[in-house]
Amino acid sequence: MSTDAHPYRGYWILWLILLAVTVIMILIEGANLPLGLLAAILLVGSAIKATLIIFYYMHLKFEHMSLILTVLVGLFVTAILMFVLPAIDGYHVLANKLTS
Amino acid sequence: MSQTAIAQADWGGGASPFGVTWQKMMMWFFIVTDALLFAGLLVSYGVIRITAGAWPAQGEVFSLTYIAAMTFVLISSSATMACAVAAAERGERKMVTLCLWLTILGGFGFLGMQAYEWSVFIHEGGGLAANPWGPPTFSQFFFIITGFHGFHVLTGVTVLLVVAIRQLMGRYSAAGVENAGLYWHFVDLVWVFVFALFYLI
Repeated sequence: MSTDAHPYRGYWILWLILLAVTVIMILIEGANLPLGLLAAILLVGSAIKATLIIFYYMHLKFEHMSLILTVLVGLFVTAILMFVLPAIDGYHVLANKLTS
Repeated sequence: MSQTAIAQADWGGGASPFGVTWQKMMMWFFIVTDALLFAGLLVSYGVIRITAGAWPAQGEVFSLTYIAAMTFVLISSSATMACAVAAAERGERKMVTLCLWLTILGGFGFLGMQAYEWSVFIHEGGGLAANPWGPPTFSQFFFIITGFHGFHVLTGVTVLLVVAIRQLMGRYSAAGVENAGLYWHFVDLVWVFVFALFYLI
């Protein structure tokens, strides 16, 4: 990530990438996409930003595999389960509310 | 080969399985649990929003340009924090001082912008029980989610101030700066999801 001549350059390149992804996400938001598609694209964009921050700003990439797995499995698997299951439930409640 | 030797060959982690100090390990564990707290808040926001059916258009309630500027400030402060951690590792004291105080400036900037956002929101009639744009749950989630995040930023600025003042007194370690940095990047990480899920979708 860093060389001795330019020890901080990598962090500022990553800063530019993070800003670029943010701007792209804002532009996509303004494109009037269907809500489900928009949510999926923006979640992927957020996941890319989160992975870059965790791996390079927080240096997780350079830790032992045991710590990497503890953090990633703990975070992503639980978070994905938490997001997917209640969303299905939410649509179920909405459908029942509209038909009743 | 004795049993211990076999165990050591298979798994060299008996003494230090994660290969980090206990401070760093506990910071990571804290970050995982705290992230799940925010995940819980955002999930409940999603479920309530889906079941509500109708929801205010965020573009009419907030200025997206303003929120983007807040995001810019926080991401930039994360970049300066990363530089502070790298400088501390390399023992460049002046660079550590500069980057730490720039990060603190970014933190205060973000907090100030959020305070202004809240005051505009309240001034336009938004409250815990009232929402001129639609269901009141919208403004409840606004205050709870951005309030929780803002409190984390305030905590982070406090931690950074302690580290920065100690650093000026010459009492700091690279590991200490790194741990404060881990927390600060986490605050930025949470904002990535709050920004996408609450303001953009």
